[in-house]
Amino acid sequence: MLEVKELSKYYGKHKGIENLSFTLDESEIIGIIGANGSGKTTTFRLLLGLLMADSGTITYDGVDINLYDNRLFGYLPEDRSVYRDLKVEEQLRFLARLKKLPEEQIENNIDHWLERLNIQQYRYRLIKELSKGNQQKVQLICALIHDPKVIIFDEPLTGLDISNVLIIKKLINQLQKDKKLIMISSHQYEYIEEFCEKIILLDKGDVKYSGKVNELKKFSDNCYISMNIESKRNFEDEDGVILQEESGNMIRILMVNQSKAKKLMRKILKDEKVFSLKIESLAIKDMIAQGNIV
Amino acid sequence: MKHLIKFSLKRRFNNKAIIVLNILMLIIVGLLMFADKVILYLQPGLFNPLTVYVDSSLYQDKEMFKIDETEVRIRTLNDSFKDEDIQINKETDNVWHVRSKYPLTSKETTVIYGMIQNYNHYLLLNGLNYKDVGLINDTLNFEMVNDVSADSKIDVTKQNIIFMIITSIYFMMLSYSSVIANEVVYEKTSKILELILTSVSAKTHFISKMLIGWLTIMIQTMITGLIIVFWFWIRSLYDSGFNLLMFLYNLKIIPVELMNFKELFSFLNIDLNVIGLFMVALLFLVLGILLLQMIMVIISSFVSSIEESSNVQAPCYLILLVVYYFALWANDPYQMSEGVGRIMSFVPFFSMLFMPCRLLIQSVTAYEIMIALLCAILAIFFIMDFGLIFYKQGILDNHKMSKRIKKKIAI
Repeated sequence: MLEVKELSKYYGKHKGIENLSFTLDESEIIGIIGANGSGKTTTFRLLLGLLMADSGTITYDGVDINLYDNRLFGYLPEDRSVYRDLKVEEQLRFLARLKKLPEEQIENNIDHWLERLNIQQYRYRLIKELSKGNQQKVQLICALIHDPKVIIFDEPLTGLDISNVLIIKKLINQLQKDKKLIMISSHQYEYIEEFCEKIILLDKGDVKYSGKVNELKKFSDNCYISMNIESKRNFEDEDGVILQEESGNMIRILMVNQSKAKKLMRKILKDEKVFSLKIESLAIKDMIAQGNIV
Repeated sequence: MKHLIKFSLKRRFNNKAIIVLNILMLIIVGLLMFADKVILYLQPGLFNPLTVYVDSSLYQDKEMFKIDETEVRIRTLNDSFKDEDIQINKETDNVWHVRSKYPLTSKETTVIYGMIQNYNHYLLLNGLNYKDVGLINDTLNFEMVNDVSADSKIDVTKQNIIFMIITSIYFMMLSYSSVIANEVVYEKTSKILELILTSVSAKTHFISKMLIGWLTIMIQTMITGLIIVFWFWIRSLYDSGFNLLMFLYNLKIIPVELMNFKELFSFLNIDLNVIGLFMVALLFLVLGILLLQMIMVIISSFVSSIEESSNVQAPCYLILLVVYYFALWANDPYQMSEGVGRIMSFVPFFSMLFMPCRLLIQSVTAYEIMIALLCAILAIFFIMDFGLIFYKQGILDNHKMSKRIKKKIAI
């Protein structure tokens, strides 16, 4: 288990991160969200040992992480951190050697990961010749080639097309089954909700929320009704409706609470010809937009 | 660290640009070793004496102009005069006209000026009696004896060699100072550095960069050395260097006629003592460049874009230029023995320029060498220790210093 206790880091008077605490068990995925400058990168750098904390502790299985070797963590940075003029194999080999893997294992792991991410045909191609998605896959292999226990993904899905997103999502699910401890940071909050049981919401170095996603949802009674009906009309005069939004064929209605939403749904089913109709709790991004958390 | 160094050196030396550069170096050194053949092929009349036409009324015998016949050939205007030849004519006692197709070169000017001067002397002395001629000769030709009181005798004839050494060291400083700095800027701007630092500590990275820089200099020097030795060997097989040495003698680059390379080495007095001095000088050079590289790397770690890096490096090059001119200014016997040159030979970084100069022109005591070496090594450790703090700050864009670092700096 990874345990972070009251971790703080300051840059002079500027707050990098203050009093961050969380635990992460095997097969757990934690999402770290927040705007730019909220402290996500500082948190990752503290975990990776790139920065020294001013206070607080980080332990893995009860032992200070500084006592582990550099193979504990796997890190996928947000930016493309590759030598663009190297071949895929050279890049992977270089980083695997830095992680002190034996040569034979390096060879096996490169074969394994290239095949798993379906880029074995690019093994001897220059990285700069690859698409953004395939470059991201190479970088992903760099993070995983040494089979780390704890994996940090900083914006893993940025710039990927839908087919690559599906590959990465499948991979993350597989890593979870392999009992890895996973941390994900993303601006695409829908993915965070999809993957993570726990989230940490940061704002200018302060921890605004740290806990389970379902618990976070309890911060607001509001919910959405999403529907596709034959004839669009205005529901804003109905009881419990806060706001109505339309986008293409879809209508989204923000409701005060779930009981009012159910009441309205029954009425719609009775009065309208309905193609689709569902009730949803507020997404994290909606809660942040509405100021329910911060 | 081993992998970082191997990886970086492979990237540096196993690429098309460096291979082409070394092939180019091979060709250039080859051309230099056969410069006599190449230049004489391109300009066959290079060593032909200058032909100067004078009016037959001025010319009675060649003693009048006291000329060196390998340099100048005098013809009277009765001979076949060509347009490209030079003609001199006495207008008045003080004015001589020189007619030439193109403006005279400095060498031609000097030769002709000397001829005219000799001619005037000849006329002057010709009108005097024997006793007066002797008196004038004694007055004009005198010997100046310089009694040196300083203990350390200085070989002022090596002043030109010192100039060449200072210039060579300066260009080595320029070439190699930013070798590693640019690599750090690239790794930082391409964000690969962050990934590397998850595998190795910043200290390991910093030290490996220093070693890479040092090894780069060594390997490139070795490649260049091998190329030179190869061409020396070829030239030795060809004619033992005889024609090349004659060519250099004719160009007045070497002052004596030498028959082969062996005689050249004897002439240069290259014995074990000189080689030892060169090795010590080389040590100062390596330490100085290492120090310079460290400073450049630390500065470059704060650079966040390739564009910024040139803005940072340009002022550094200007500072190096100032150091170069300073070294040239201080290149005289007094400054090197007891003036600013002597002091600077103990100051880290400056010692890379001044100590080699002192070693080659005067005897420097062993304790002076030890003190200067100690200063240079201590400076390297000092910069390594404190520079590392700044380096860590710079490479992680963590510019605001933490209390811990401020405290360490205060100590």
